[in-house]
Amino acid sequence: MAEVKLQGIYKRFKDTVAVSNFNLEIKDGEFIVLVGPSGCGKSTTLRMVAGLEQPSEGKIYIGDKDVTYAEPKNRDIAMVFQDYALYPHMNVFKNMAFGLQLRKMPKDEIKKRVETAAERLGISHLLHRTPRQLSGGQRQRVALGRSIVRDPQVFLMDEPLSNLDAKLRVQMRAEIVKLQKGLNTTTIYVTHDQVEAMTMGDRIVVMKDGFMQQVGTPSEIYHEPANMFVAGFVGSPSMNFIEGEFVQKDGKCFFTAQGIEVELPGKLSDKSLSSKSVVLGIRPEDIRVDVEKTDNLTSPVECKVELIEDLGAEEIVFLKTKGGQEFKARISSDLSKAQAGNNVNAYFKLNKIHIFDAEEGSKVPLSA
Amino acid sequence: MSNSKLDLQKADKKPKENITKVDIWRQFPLLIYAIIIITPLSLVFFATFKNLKQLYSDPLGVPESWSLANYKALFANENMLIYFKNSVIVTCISVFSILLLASMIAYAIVRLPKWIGNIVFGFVVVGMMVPTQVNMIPQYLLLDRLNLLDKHLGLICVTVATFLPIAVFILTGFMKTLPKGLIEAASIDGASHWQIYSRVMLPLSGPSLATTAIFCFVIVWNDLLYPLLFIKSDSLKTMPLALLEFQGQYLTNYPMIFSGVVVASIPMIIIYVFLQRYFIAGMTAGSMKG
Repeated sequence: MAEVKLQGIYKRFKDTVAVSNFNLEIKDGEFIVLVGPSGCGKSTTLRMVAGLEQPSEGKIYIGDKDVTYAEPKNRDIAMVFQDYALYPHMNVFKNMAFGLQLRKMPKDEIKKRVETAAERLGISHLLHRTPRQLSGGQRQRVALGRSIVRDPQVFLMDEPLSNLDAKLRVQMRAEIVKLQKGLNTTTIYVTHDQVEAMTMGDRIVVMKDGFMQQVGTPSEIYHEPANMFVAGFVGSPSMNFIEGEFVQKDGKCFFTAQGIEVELPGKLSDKSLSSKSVVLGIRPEDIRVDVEKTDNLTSPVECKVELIEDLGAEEIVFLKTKGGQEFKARISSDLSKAQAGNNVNAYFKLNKIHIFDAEEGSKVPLSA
Repeated sequence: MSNSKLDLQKADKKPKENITKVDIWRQFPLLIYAIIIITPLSLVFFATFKNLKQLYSDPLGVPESWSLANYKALFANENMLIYFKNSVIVTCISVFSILLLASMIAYAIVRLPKWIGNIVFGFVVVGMMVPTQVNMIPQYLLLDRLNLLDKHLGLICVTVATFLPIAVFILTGFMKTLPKGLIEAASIDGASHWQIYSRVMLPLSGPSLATTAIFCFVIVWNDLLYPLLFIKSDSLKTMPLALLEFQGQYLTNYPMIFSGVVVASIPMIIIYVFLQRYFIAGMTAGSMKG
């Protein structure tokens, strides 16, 4: 187990900058998730930590050791690949033992470690099978087993669940978290799935176009997004973004858009805006429909129910204001009275409103 | 039986008839090809059971009696076993060396930075383009200077050098198709280049190694040019060179030559049957997703 430090990392492929000024300190035993859309540089960052790519600039430390240009075998890391990368000509036992054999570990110790890891992962009965005789989930377990037998300082996982079906993914997700907590090994996990990121990571790094957008706990990322990209990327259904203007009247701040006028819970400084245009962000679950107005809600927004998606436990209600602005609300099925075609009043939770600069996308702080 | 049922039966049968006809037409060119290959082989095989007189009087017919006289005569010549042994030594060492060196070069081409790999691969391809005849005199002079003329070592060296490019070409093509993730997984597991090559790439290259082995074995085993150029001593001759002895200035003993050809083909057939199973595609199945 060790800390991992990435300092001023850049990775360029000819004219393309894949990773730009990446700085991160990962604590000993921490589970950190790099998340972002395809091509955001998360896998490249992981591969640089693994030693499979060399950074164009910057330094990488594992523990106190500078490993920026060290060979992968000298970094004491283990990696789980998206495509498993199991050796097809070796059975499960040999696949798991390969790394230990290369380190010239005594045979008894190898056997003991492989059997312990196999038991932990529930694959003891598969040790004599070859990868082609295994299902996707079993192969993924073997790939995990191959990593844990080595007892490395750092685990690297590159979208290890993306080839599994939805049910198995949920199951493996929990198993990986349990395994990591049990082993307490520093883990860097790459995924494009924000649900995986939210449920697994101690901290999440959201990336876009090679740039780090925000680092924080899942709660921070969800409730205090640094910008519109993070706010829109995390959460399902995604946050509603309503373009409008910031208006000051009688010493109060209002947000106005097509058919919407809501008083903001704080004040916006003109200096913090590049123009009057702002975007109001509100998560679907922070919208109430046809309820009694309370202090923590905005003034009502009149709208029409366009469509209702019934998900069983909850409903996604698609609303449209008279001015044509569309947004959606997530309401518990028990509380929902909405019916398609009806006119309703929607209320935004005051303390859940986010204001973003329309041009830069950055979050604009509301002062008291 | 009602009409509708009969119609249904007809409908069921029709596609089957069509498929059969299509199959026959599809296999017709293969049938022609098989006949073109099998006919001369059969004539050679039949000729080994005939004497010279019978062969000239009835070259295309089935032998009157299945006499093994030609085979007995062939092996009555004590040297024939030596020639056979020489062929085995030269071919086996050459093919083994070709596979060993070519697989190492192919691994290097795959692992080197792309532009360096492409340059090395370019040299290999250029090597394939040089006609054998152009090199005959320089090679002869070189072997003479190295004192390797009329030695198996000299013949093996030239053979390996000649067939190395084509072997590298085949093996590089195959190794490029192996999942890169396996190499990366091995390097993270702690494997050196040699360990990745010997314990991951080589076992997975079985099918292409088998193909290359058969390809080189057939060419080297049947090669007449290089033994003719570099081997003079009777005791060092290979089979194809020895079979030339049956070709006289005024009379050629075709039944004997054909018997020699049949005997010389046996190792190739054995090799083919033995290595055939390695052709099975999908050696890498299960290693990656899917």
